This record gives sequence, C-alpha cells and structure tokens, in this order.
Amino acid sequence: MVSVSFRHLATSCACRLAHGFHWPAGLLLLLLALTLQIPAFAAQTVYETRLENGLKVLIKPDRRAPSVVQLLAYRVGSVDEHDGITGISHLLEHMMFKGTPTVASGEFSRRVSAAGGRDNAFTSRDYTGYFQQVPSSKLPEMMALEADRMSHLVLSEKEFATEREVVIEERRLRTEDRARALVSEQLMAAAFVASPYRHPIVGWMSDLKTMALADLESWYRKWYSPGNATLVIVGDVDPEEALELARQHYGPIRASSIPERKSRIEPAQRGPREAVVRAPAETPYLLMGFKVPSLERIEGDIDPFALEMLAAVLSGDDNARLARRLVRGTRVADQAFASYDMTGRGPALFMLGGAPARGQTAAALRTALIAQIREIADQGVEPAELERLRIQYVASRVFQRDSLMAQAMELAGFEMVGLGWQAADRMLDRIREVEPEQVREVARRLFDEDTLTVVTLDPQPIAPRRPAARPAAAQPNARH
Amino acid sequence: MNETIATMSSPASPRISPSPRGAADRAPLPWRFLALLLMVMLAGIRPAQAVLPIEQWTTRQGARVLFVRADAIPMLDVAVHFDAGGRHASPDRAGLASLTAALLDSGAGALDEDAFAERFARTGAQRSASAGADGTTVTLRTLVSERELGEAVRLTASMIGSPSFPQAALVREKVRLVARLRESATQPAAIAQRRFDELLFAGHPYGRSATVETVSAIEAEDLRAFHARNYAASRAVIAMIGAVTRERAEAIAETLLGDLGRGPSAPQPGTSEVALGASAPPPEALPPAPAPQVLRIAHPASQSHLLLGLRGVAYDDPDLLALQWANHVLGGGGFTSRLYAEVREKRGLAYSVYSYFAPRSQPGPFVIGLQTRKDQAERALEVVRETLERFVREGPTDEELAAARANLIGGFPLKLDSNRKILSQLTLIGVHRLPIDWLERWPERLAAISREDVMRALARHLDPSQLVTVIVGAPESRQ
Repeated sequence: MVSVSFRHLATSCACRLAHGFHWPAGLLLLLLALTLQIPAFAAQTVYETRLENGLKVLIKPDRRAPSVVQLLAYRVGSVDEHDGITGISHLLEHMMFKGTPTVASGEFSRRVSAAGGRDNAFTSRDYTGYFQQVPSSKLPEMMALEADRMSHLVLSEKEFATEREVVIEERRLRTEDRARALVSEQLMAAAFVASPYRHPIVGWMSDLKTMALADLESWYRKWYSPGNATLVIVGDVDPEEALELARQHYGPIRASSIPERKSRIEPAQRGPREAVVRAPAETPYLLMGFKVPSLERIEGDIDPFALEMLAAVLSGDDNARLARRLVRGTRVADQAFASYDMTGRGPALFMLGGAPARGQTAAALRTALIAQIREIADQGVEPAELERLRIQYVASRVFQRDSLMAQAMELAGFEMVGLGWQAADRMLDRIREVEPEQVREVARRLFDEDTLTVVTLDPQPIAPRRPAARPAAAQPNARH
Repeated sequence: MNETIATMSSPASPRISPSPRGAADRAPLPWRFLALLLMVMLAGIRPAQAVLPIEQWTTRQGARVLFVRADAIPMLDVAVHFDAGGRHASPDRAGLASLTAALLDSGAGALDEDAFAERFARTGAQRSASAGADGTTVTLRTLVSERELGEAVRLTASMIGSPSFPQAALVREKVRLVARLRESATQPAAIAQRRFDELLFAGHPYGRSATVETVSAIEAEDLRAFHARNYAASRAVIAMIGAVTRERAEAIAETLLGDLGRGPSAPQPGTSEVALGASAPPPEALPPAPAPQVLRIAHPASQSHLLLGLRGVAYDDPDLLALQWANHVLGGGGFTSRLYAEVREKRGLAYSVYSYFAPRSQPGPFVIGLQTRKDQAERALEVVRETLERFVREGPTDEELAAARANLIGGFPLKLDSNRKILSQLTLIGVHRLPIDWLERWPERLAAISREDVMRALARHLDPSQLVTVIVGAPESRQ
C-alpha cells in the first residue's frame, strides 16, 4: 500500500435546529476554488432528520423556480432477491401504481398529472425509487399519495396478470432482443456465483412467468416500511415547512422491523471465466470484468478512488487513452471504454470493453485493452492526465446542480448504498486527492487474470439461411 | 452497474413542445411565475413583466442571439444553430451534414485532433455537435471561471469556424459510421425508423438516411464545401443562459462566430456574400403524401416493432398547439394517455406505447410507436387503430381535455426549472423565429383553444385512413 497525504482544507459544521434538524453547513471546497480559479462555492446544504417511525428525511432547497422533486427510495433491489423470484423488486415497483383503498388503480398518475407534474419509478440492483416532479405548491398532495401507498397498496390478481405481461414485454425490449444487453447480462451471471448481483434487475424470464401474487405481497410487507426508506425533497421549499409536511403525511405510518439481511459474499474467483453470446448483430463486442474492491470507508479506503481515476484516465474524456490510442491511434477499436462504479451494496467490477474495428477481432481488442492496463502498471500515469480529470470532476459536479432530479438521485443513491448522502462532497475530495503513483499501484495489483470474466458477442445474421441458399455440401442427402 | 430500469420508458421523442423550464435564477423569478400563471388562468391578462427575461441582439456578422442571465450556478450553456441540416446535402451524399458535425473537432485552427481534445478536456467543459434534417447545432456547457470560460469559448469558436477536416480522421470516421450503420441494420427499432421515414417522406430530405454507399462517397472536399456554404454566421442563431453579464455574453457571441470565414474551408477571395449563403436555398417541397400501406419486414427478434404515422405539421402551423394538446390525451401524456390505457394498462400488450407530433421547419411526422410479442402484433395493431379512429371520430372528452390542460398549464413552471430546459426553449424560439414572448404566452394561448378548435385540427391533420405502418419482426404467418 502506498501512503496518501490528505489535503484537508474543507470545513464543516453540524448545526442543530430547534426541532431536531441536523444541518450540515456546506463543506467549502476551498481547494477547488484555489486550483480552478473559480469562485468558492459552498457544497450542498441538506437538511436531515429522522422521523420517529424511522423514515429518514433529506431536504435540499433549490429555489430557482417553483418546482420540486419528491423522491422516495426503499432499500430493496435485485441484490435482495433469490433464485425463483428474481425481478420481484421491479415487478412490485410496477404494481405500486395499481392503487390503494382510497386511490384507484392508475389514479396516482392521473392526480400527479392533474397537479401539473410528471412521475415515474425505477429499480436498480440496490434500491427502488419513486418520484414526482411538480409545481412546489403541490408537494403536500404528492406526499399524501406517496405515504398512502407505502402501507396501503392493494394487490389484485387481475391487475397482476396484466402487469406481468407488461414486464415480460419490457424484458424482451430491454434484453432479449438486444445483443449487447445480453452480453452485459451474461457477464454478471458468469462473474458472480453467490452474489445476487448475478441476477438481472428485470429478472429471468421463467421467474417472471412463475411469480405469484403472494410473493409480491410478502415482498411488499417485508421491505416497504418507513425504517427502510429515505424521503428526498429537492426544490422550491422552505426546509422547516417541508419537514412539517413530511411529519404530517409520513409520521403516522407505523414502524415495522426490517428483516435481517444475510450477507451473501462472493467467493474468491480462482481462474478466468469466458462466455460467448450468439445473437443477431453485425459487429463483435467485448465485455470484460475484473473483480476489484468497492468503497467501504470513504476516509480509509484508497483503492476505490485510485480505480475511479484509472477508469477516467482510460476513458474519462475525448483525449483519454482508449479513445486516443485504440480508436484514433492503432484503430483496433471503433469503440473502447473502461468503467468502474465504486458504490453499490454488492461487489464491484472494473469493466473494460468495446467494439473491434472492421478487420479486427474481439481477441485483438482484448489484448489491446489489457496492454493499456499493463502499461500503466509499468510506467504509471502523467500528473497532467490527473490534473485534467480533476477539473472535469469538479465541473460536472457544478453542472449537476442544474437538475433537481439529478440532485435528488444523488442524495438517494448514496443513502441507499449505505454511504450517507454526505458522501458526494467527500468523494469528490478523495478522488481529487489521488496521486499518479496510486493509480499505477492499483493497475499493478488489482488486475489479476484469475478474477477476470470475459464475454464476447459472436454476431449472427438476421436473415435466416433458407434451405435454398445452403451450399449443396450442407445437404449430403439431397436427391436430384 | 448504474443500470436502472423504470416503470415507463422515456418518451422516444419530445412529447409536448414547450419544454420551457424556469428559473432564470436571478431572484424573485418564482413570484413572477406564479403571478403570471394566476393571471393567465384567472383572466387571460398578459403580464407587463416578462416571465423569462430574454435579451436579444444581433452580432456584427448578423447572427441572432437570445440570452437569459442566470447567476445561481457558476456555469454557462450555449447552443449555436446553423441552417446546415441534411437538406443541404445531395441524396448521393446523405450523411454529409452529420459527418461534417462529427469532424468539427477533429483538429481545428492550429491544433490537431489530439491537441484539441486535450485542450478542451482541460477546461472541464462539455460540448456536442449534431445535425438533423433541418439544422446543425453545436452546444457548449462550461464553468464561468475566467480561464476555463475563455478557453472553452475560444476552442468552440475554432471548431465552428476553422475545422481542418484532416483526411485520416475522415477515413476513420467514415469507417466508424459505416460500422454503426451496419449494426443498426440488424436492430429492429432502427430498421423500423429508417423504413418509416423512407415511406413517409420518400424523395425528400426528411426521408433520407445515410447508407453505406452514400457515406463511402463522401470526401474531404465535400465536408469543406458543406461547411463553407452552410455554416454561415449571418444565418446562425445563438442561445445562451448562464452566470455572465450581458456585456460578456455579447463578447462571447462575437468570439463564437469570429473564426468563421478564416479556416481552411473559407471561401476564396472574390466570393460574394450571397454565394456564401446569406440567403439559403428554400426547403424542397414535400412530395405528395404516400398511399396508406402496411410494410411488414421479417426479423428474428422476439418482439415486433410497430411504427404508425402520417405527415404532421410544421412549427409555424397554427394548429400545432391544439394538436399537441390532443396528443397529450391520445399518447403523449405518459401514464394517463388513451394508448397507454388501451394497449398497456388494460391488455398488457406492450411496455412502451406512445404518440407524438414532431414539428419541423416543414411538416414533420406524427408517430405512434410500440413493441409487442410477435404473435400478438396484429392484435396490438388493431387496438391502436381502433383507439386512434375513435379518438379522431369522437374527439377527446371534456374531462380528458381539462385534465391535459391542467397538466400542461399547471406544469408550466416545470418546463423552465433548469438552464438546460431554458436553453432548448431559447433555441426553439430563435430557430423557428417565434415571437420573443412565445414562451410566456404559451399557457395563455393554450387556455384560449376550444374543444372545437381541437376537433377541427384533428380533422385536418389526423386521418386514420391515411396511416402508413411499418412492422419489423412481423408475425411469421404474415411474412
């Protein structure tokens, strides 16, 4: 391990308001201001509290326009699922629009629409989120609706029968008929044996077909409770008023115990794994995943931040190494990327992949991608490369403030993976602190072929070869 | 692994026109908003004060600029639009506009491709360049700190004004584009879109897509000529929003177009301004609409992809707003639309089903789209047709219209709640020469439309008997 010097110029304070608010005044990113010559800007101001029933509430005022986002996130996703019921979190997410005793099926979205808003929901491996964006005067009504379906969902056989078909169509659309999506699905399934990250979020087809309403009912009772949820409000609100509203609407919901989550640790991989997907396509495609550490402790960990920088050095911008060398330089690839997400409730993969250029092969691209990692392991990276990327991290964080939804998603996401919403600001600092030698060091140490999984797309023609077109040699028994 | 999947797919296309969103951030904008909405909804009175304080001027070279100052975030968004769409490329060079846009940053001014990429990356800014049938747009999003802003604007100016179109980059990008074309020719959604456009707009630029042949024929000279002819400062529109003063914005606008006419593709001395495209050739007239038909194309996918539609309206069509209102009820209103109810909610036939009008400079398409398991494609097609026919025949109910209006007018503040959304509205106003108060009068204009107006607009523009239909992955029995 290489030692790291923390450049800690950030300040923070946690002030306490009268009624139990913790309000961490923004961390002033002075460092950033100094190096970038941009005006110091305060990091986000977020008001945090927890209701007595366990619901965590995060409120982030952004009063540029009379618009507000409510995002309610439940810590349940495909990572919580087991064989036989894969896809259940996502299927339940669909069923959440099917009504309660006081709100008829479909009425939820009609009310959001009548309020001038839009709504949707999403499921990831780690959590499930429901959101509405509405004129700020409509927030109380949105809270009433969202609180209602936290504990009063009505699950009917009839609605379920139809929605199951919808989700099956969704799986066809997203995965079955998309060659590269099949490759991604196969990579996760091959890379992970015990970790539920092996399952697709949408679920395996046969599980979707055999899921029962009773499965959904128990999933709902198990995970949809205030203690397993975080409410995020971003937009044109007075934080105290918004908190009062949250108390009023969500406060009465009864607390319930959250089931124990058994850890399902992925065993060490003891050798490379390879798979081939044959599906209609024109161009071969390659996806590789190395098992690498994920982020556990923001202040203590170093590897995840160095890996983040490594991915960025390889494909963080137009002039990153893979684009410059493999796409524009040697032309082994038409497309090449590296990616790494350090956050997640399950294990992490460092991904490399792309599409070989015409006349090249997936095998040649694989060799070229590995060679790029090896080169960094041997020779390291230039300080200028990191400096350029640091600016981009800071800039994209500034740009992100333009979108209420992006801000809400970030807060919810960090809460749901267990890092806490404050992580975003600290992670930016930690990424910016990464030294060239640390990048070299992870490139040298963490890319062990024994933890590698490779999936290759073998493209198949879309026109079925008709018997007439077959060469005679293929029909030895044909009579004339 | 950031993958998420949602209850409803994102709409395939802009669903309702004014995506104006709010927030000029400067200060009491919300008050002005609410005051406006109140006035509009109560009495239809026009407010004296602008909701969105758009400043506008013309650059020295004649480009129109629309600017909104927004100080809340230390960033600036810019869109530079040229009348440099695919319509200016000959049919045997389809793809020229896109390839020109894609190569703007492959070396510009004194910088080669890598040097340009490196310098730009060091500013932390983001850029894009893309071409459609009607125009080409270059966007920039940058911090407003002095060094970053100045450098990002200078680099953007040089890619706009003096791209070098090096041969090696052209060869490479042609190969990559051809690979993407071959790949998309295997994908049902892409096949459906291409065939649909070809059917609906045969012989017109709106119906043309790049092919392996047309892309292969494009040479560096074509790019230079296309750039010289169509990237004309005098016909450019610049939209800007961000934390800069008016004075600074004016200087930025001048800089952005300052390199035009200086690069390698600059016209030779003696070329007149007119030849330079001070007035562009008028758009090609649309050929007669195609006969109604159903095109079935075989594909091994498990789902059929269906696109149905006909010629819709242009941006300047007086019926546009009435049609968008009606379409909100039909298939634009997400979870609340009739198509959603009939196809998805009641029958579970599809995950994604939608309809939209895509207004363009000339009448763009009206489209209904969905995907469904192959063996139920014909049934889904029937449901969609019946839903559309009944909708046009009987019209939306008063309740449906009221609900759609509540969403559209009530949701007006949401259309202006980020700089990005405002930027797209500014671009729209500038490019389509809409009145400067177009955005703020939008709720008022919608409120003034009657049910009869909607019925008349539907009768004029939506004749279900004229539908053109493409089904990729058609049921085996029908192939």
